[in-house]
Amino acid sequence: MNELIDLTLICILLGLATLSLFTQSLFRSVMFFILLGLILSLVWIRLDAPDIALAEAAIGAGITGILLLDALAHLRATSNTPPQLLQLKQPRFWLALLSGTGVILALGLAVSEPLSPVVALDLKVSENLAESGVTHPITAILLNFRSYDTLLEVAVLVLAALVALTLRQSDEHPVANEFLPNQLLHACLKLFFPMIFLVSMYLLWAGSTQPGGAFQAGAVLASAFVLFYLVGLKTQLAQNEHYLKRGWIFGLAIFVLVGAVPLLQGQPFLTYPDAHAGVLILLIELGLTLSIGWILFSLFLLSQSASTFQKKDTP
Amino acid sequence: MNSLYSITLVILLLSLLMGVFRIWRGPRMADRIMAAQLTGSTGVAVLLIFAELQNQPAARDTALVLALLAMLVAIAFVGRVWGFTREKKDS
Repeated sequence: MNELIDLTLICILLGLATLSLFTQSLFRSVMFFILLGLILSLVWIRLDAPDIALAEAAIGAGITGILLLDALAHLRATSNTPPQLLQLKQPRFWLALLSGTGVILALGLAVSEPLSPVVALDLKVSENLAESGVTHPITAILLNFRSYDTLLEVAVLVLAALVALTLRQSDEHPVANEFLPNQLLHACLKLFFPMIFLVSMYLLWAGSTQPGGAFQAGAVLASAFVLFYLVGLKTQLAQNEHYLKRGWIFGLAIFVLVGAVPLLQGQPFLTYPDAHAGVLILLIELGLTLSIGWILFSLFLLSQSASTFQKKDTP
Repeated sequence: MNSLYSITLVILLLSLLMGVFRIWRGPRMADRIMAAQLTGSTGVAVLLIFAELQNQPAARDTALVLALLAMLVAIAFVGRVWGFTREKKDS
């Protein structure tokens, strides 16, 4: 039975990947891609990796779908030519083929090599879990044992938002923003906004003892913001570039500050005192959740028409 | 009890496949979005079954997130894409 389930899931996954790549209509591709994210989160659950499944459900089914649909609206508004089939003489076809084969070969090599780590990392983690301040091993790795990586990942996200800001200023064909004055939608917002917000905070809180954490919570929070925006409610906060940028670096700033305090006592960067590690990790995660949510929302917001967006006031 | 889950799972996977077929066939964009919503709901149900079958409580959290966020795609579609191409087939 188990093999049958897995086999079916793999077949659906491969079929959807093929469909989303080779479908002629862009809209259909986007639909298949969103579905691919959904099936992928099922597959992660089958593989007993609920943390990744949560992230995939929040990012793949939620925010990526919205961003892709939004991009589609931009493509239609600027009346781009429909996608053409790749020609054999085009160098980019051979480039794609070459890099694709390279990745497959590298993956095959990685799979064929037997796993024999020099240090048994899983044992190391479970040995030191008590000192990390949290009881969920993945959160312990992300925010304590390897917090440098997480810090840099968040910096990359901030960079992505900055790139989006730069691109927006060069966009000549902004899409007119069609708000939806719909009673049903307003009722929907009243019902769902608090619930999405609550689930986001729950994921953040759950992160220290079970699957969850800042990235998942941030993605869910971003969806709550997007819902708020799609209904047509605008906040002053999102209109001002100043506040926008401050929101981006808020989490990173908290992370760096908390990490820098031990430097005063002559300890290395990002070592938390054992007694307060749990509280500090929660503080960092709260900052990261707000910032990640804000950054993902900004990616959506920045693609909107420039006229609804005021530059910062210059008297 | 386990066989009940298995039978439900088979039905749900069939429903998933039918959703995929309906997205492929269309013919209108709204049909495809409706089919995507169907697969979203089916995905939630499959996750709940997996939570029981594999004794994986976090699958319920994933189902919760999926259930809340799946409808956003429909709203984004109506707000962004629908207005530009109303009454037209997407081809």
